[in-house]
Amino acid sequence: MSILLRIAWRNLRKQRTKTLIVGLIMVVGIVVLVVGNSLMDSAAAGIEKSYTRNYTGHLMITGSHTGRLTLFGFQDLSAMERSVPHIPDYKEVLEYVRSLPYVESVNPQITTAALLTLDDEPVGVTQLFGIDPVQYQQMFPDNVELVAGEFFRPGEQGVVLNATIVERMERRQGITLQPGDKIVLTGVSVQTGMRIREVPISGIFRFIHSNPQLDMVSFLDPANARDLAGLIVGHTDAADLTEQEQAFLGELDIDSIFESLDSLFVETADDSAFRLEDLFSDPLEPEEPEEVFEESPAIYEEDLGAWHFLLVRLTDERSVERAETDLAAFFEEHNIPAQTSNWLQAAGATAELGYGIKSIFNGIVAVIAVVAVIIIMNTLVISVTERTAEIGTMRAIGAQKSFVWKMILSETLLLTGLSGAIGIALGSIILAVLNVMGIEATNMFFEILYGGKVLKPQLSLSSVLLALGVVVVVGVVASSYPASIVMRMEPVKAMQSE
Amino acid sequence: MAIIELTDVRKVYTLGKTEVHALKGVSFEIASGEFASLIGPSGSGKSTILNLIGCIDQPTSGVVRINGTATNGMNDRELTTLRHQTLGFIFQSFNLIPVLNVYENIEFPLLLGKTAVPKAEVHDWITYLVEQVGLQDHIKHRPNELSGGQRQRVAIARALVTRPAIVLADEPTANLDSKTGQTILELMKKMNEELNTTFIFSTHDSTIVGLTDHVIRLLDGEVVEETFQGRAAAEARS
Repeated sequence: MSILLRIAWRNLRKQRTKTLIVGLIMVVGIVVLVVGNSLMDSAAAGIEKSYTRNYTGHLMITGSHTGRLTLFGFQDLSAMERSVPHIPDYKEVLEYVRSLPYVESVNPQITTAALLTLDDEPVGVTQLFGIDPVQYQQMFPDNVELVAGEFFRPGEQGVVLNATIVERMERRQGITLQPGDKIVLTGVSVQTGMRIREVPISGIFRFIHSNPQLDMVSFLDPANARDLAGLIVGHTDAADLTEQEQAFLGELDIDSIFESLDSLFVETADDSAFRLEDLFSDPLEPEEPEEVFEESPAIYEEDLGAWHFLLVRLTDERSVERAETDLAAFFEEHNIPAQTSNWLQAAGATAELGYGIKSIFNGIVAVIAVVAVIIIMNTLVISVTERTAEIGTMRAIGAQKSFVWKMILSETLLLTGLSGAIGIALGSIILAVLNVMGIEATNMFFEILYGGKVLKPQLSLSSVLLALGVVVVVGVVASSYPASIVMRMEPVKAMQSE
Repeated sequence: MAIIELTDVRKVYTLGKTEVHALKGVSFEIASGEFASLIGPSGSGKSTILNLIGCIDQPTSGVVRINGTATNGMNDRELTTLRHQTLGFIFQSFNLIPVLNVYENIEFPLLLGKTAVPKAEVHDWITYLVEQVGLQDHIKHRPNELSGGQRQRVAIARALVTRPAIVLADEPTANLDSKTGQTILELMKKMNEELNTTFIFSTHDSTIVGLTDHVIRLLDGEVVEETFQGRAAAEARS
């Protein structure tokens, strides 16, 4: 053992009480850090897994923007002043994304929100995800449980309401909603102002892994979603004209108009195109559900209209950086004003909660570290002051200042290092026990935080590295002031202090 | 040949607004291998001269030369290296490192950097010194397990371990009983004769004065008398 470590170790043993007090503070601090950070990391991993698997994919492609844009729209002070940009050159972007070998699946989405009105009475609000039901269910097959009805089919109008919203409306308003009912959605967009759409309720669903933010989300067909979101500036609703207006416009033969339209379809549509009769089929018919999309691809025509987001799932999450680079290069090369965001940016405030709490926790750890530094520093200052003659003797018989500095540093690092090792070991044991037992989420807050109903924490490498970092930093910082006192000591004065 | 040379050395300490003239133009030389003593009453400047020769303090003016090299203007690193390689210290209060045992205390200066002792010889050399100071049965003992005399023997061995040209001893027998003091002095005299190490004592002890070749008497910061006896006197005569 080097002389420095030998002296350090024996001095620590000699000053047993001080060593125990300081060591105990460090051990407690490191246990809190390791356990806390591992809990946070396990929770964060849970949240990430849950979100990327069920809501966001690994990447979100959007139109160019500034500020915090999430799947729920802008989440900053400008949210009411600007609309979510659509993805320009969507078809070109989609083709490129699909050509990337590491892309597993994609899902386009529109975000908007609406006031729900029934019989001219406002009954609730909902966040709306405008989706292509085929692509959505292909990308997120495990996140939705249909409580009643089914998803609207491609080209159909319809809203699939969140069961939480429905239950709340039924409880508060004393109403009953079921598939087939019509509900009025009122949306407001910056470009087009207020839009009102009456839409049939296709189904009622529940997110399997939910949180308060997701409990506000319902699904809407893309045409109505675009309308409410201001992505369409005009539409073709039939207007109820007064007799005078009809007289003014002349008599219209409605049947003849549809006949001519029918003839148009007969001439242009082929078997692979969307069939008009499917649009009028009974949405509640039980034999027709998802397999229609899967087993009869001929009737499905991909919607290449305007979309706010294109969510991308990769075959391997390690390809995220590569995908971001490739997409950025593609956008630049083709002069497309679009950009990518990662899953966390896409997920919004609730998913960020866990990370926010981790930041707060790290702040608390930093405070503990500062307290530890002050205590250790204070103890060391007393220690070196008591050892003035000893240090002076060392200097007199040939110890350079650097040797003395190293001696003080070794002493502190040995103390913090040993305490750190004990703290990490204790923390690992605690985590192993918690992993076996599992920590149940007692309420929604913890469910969000844990990323599920039960958290099974694991010792995370980052928490161990952070603990080691804290140990070294605390050791170096705490020894710096006492060492500077020692370095300023002139040997002759140190000798005189005996 | 002079191993130590002081030329018109002055040292002024400032205590608040008062200036204390500890040394007032001291000049003398000490030859290599001498067993020399600085004597005088308290406050005469003995310890100040030892500190200046030991390079743990700097003169206000004048020149201190060790082995022909002036110590004025040397930086801390150079002075520390000079102390380590050329000088050995024996303190009145022994000043051993409390957490190291006898062997480790003696070994300690060798671990601080390059010395005249080849690495292969370190263990044998320390063992030899331990035997010379009669502590072979206490080699694993810590300072608090030793008597005053034993501690001072450790200090002597530590001072000699780097094979320094000069050993400075500040009142080495002050904290020892007379019998132990006598033994310690005989030991140092033996080392002086066997290793040709120059010893300089600061002392009130008449026994030490009687043993030394060269006595420098100080009073109020000035050399008032220099006498040579024994070997030094013979060399001075030749």
